Amino acid sequence: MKIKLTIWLLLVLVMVMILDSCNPDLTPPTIPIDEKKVLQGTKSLTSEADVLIEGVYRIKPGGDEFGPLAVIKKTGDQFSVFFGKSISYAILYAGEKKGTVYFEGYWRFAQNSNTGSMSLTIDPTAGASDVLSGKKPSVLILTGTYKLYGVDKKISLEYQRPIHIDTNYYIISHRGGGRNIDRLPASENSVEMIKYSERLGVNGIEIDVQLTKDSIPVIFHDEYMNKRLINEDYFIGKVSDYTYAQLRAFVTLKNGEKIPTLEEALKAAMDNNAIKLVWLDSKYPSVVRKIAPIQKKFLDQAKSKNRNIRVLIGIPDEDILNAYLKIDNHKNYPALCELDSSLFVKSTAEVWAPRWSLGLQPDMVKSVHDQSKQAFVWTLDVPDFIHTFIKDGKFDGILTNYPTQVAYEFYAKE
Amino acid sequence: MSFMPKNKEILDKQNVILSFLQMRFCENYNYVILNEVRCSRPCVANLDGMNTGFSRSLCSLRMTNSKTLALLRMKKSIFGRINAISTTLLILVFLALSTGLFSKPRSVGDSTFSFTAELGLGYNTDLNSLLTEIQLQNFSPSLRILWKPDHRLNIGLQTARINIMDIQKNEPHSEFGSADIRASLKGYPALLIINMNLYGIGIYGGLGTTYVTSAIEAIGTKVSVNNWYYTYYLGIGYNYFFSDSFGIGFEADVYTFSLMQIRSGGLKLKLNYDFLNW
Repeated sequence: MKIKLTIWLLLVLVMVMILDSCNPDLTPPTIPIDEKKVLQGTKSLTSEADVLIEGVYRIKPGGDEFGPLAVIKKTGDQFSVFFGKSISYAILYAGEKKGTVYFEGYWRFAQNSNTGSMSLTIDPTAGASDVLSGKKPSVLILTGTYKLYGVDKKISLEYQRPIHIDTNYYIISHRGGGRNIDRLPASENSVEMIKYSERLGVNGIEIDVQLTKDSIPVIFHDEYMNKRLINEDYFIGKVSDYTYAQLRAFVTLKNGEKIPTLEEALKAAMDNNAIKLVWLDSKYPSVVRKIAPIQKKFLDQAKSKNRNIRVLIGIPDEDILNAYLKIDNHKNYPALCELDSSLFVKSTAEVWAPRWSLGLQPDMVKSVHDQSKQAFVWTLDVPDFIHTFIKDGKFDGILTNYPTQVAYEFYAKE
Repeated sequence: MSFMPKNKEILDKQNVILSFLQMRFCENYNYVILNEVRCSRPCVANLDGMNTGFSRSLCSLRMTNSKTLALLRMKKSIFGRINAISTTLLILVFLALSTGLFSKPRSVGDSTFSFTAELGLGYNTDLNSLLTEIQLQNFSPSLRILWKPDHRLNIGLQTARINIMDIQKNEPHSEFGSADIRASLKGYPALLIINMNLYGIGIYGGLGTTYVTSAIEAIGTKVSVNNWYYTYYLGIGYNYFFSDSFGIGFEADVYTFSLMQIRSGGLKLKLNYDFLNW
């Protein structure tokens, strides 16, 4: 009897564990970002040195985890390293001391919680002297270690060629920079995520706009509030069920941030110089009329500050298209249309954005270009197809949940 | 569990029992007889070359004492001569006889069909905030109707009124100054329940949906909303029938509401009533 009872109890325990495992693990990996030991006492690099370090590198030891090539790109205050394998990347801070360039930061896989510290140097004889004096080095090699499962492994990156540059191409990250499921250090659709997003190599963001009960446009993705996005159990209705004050006072996003207003999100985008495009995903028709004046006001502010940034009202369905067309002088409100070619023409939007699974559509993309408009695809996350769309496609941008992979393919393009 | 008997001598002296032991479902020699006839699975015995099916209802009878053994031994002498049908009939008669002699009302009472109503009253709380926001007023009634066929697996429906949470708190540093909120979350599940009982201990598993209502009063505005959530249910408890129809029990259970990622755990006392037998 005892044995059978034990089996019964074990069975119950296993069932509880199985049910519990259905809940996604949204805990961000513990990133060793604060271990700036090597960088203590170093000086910042000049902007000329930053540009000289940017490039496509061949990885010597360490290729097992990260693939044969890496792209190093200056992203704000740090360098981002986009690897070609397993959607992996590194965020490194740099400094110079006594003729040697030091990098320190962390690497991680975008699709799981594996992460670790990474430390690299450029010795004076490996190109640091030239880089620091603003000259293009004949040889440029970064060597160092990274920690994987607690073990230090060696890695070496040797400069191969400059990165591919096309200032008209958009790497657009979903939900302000990334989803909660991707375990980034900030919540999706938060101001903090918009600020963080440049590290992922993006120059555009997509954010989701809904209205509160008192018609304030705020940024939130799901139709209903839920524990995937917020911490409070008792808010289970739609965003439009609650007043702005209720949401701001009592609702926190998964990493503790407040739900941002559209204006706060746009301000964060404007303050982040890497971002050149904001795609406003309108969640339902009544949103459009509310966000249009905010879009106009924001674009006017950007123009007065000489800030080059585009804000597009997303048109994902015909109801929203009709709401958009009802706006007085709707052509003055830049838009992006996800619908078929005839509705795209009707919309007068300046960007056409079909789903990626419809293929490369070269004729349609050419037709869009012939109208002096642009074409993006959404939401492309599959590395092989990212490679194909960048290598063979004529699109002008990709909306993705894995911008580091798009950045790798784009900047490594020959 | 091993199939190896612990005492083979006894087996060899008792051919009848040995033939029972050849049944595939025997798990442990300590249950030479017990397991043959108490096994909780439908099973097939090979007696004198004939496959004989045993339904689990027959197998569930208690046959642990010496009288049972004696009855088996008495049949030993004729076992080799009777044909397969006779063997089957003898076993059935024997099992039927044992039922009357040794079974207790309710404790092994799955030999009839019945419907049982289980009325529960207990305390539920959100397990995520178990240590921080215990709400003693969260008493939750529940009703479960179980169909108990002549198998151990019972099936039924369950509903309840679960006070998932009921909180009142103050946010002193909101951007609107000090702000109060009063919020309650109640659930009304409709679940398909499966249940198995062993030695009075019942294990319950359920799947279904819950109609959840949320009422919030904050910053001068009341908001009531509701939604449906897929729901898993697990429970374990003890049931004791003190008469043919009435029993009591207690149960610990956990409701898991999908998407909300809330687990509501509870303890409840139950009143069990067999309201239909045949």
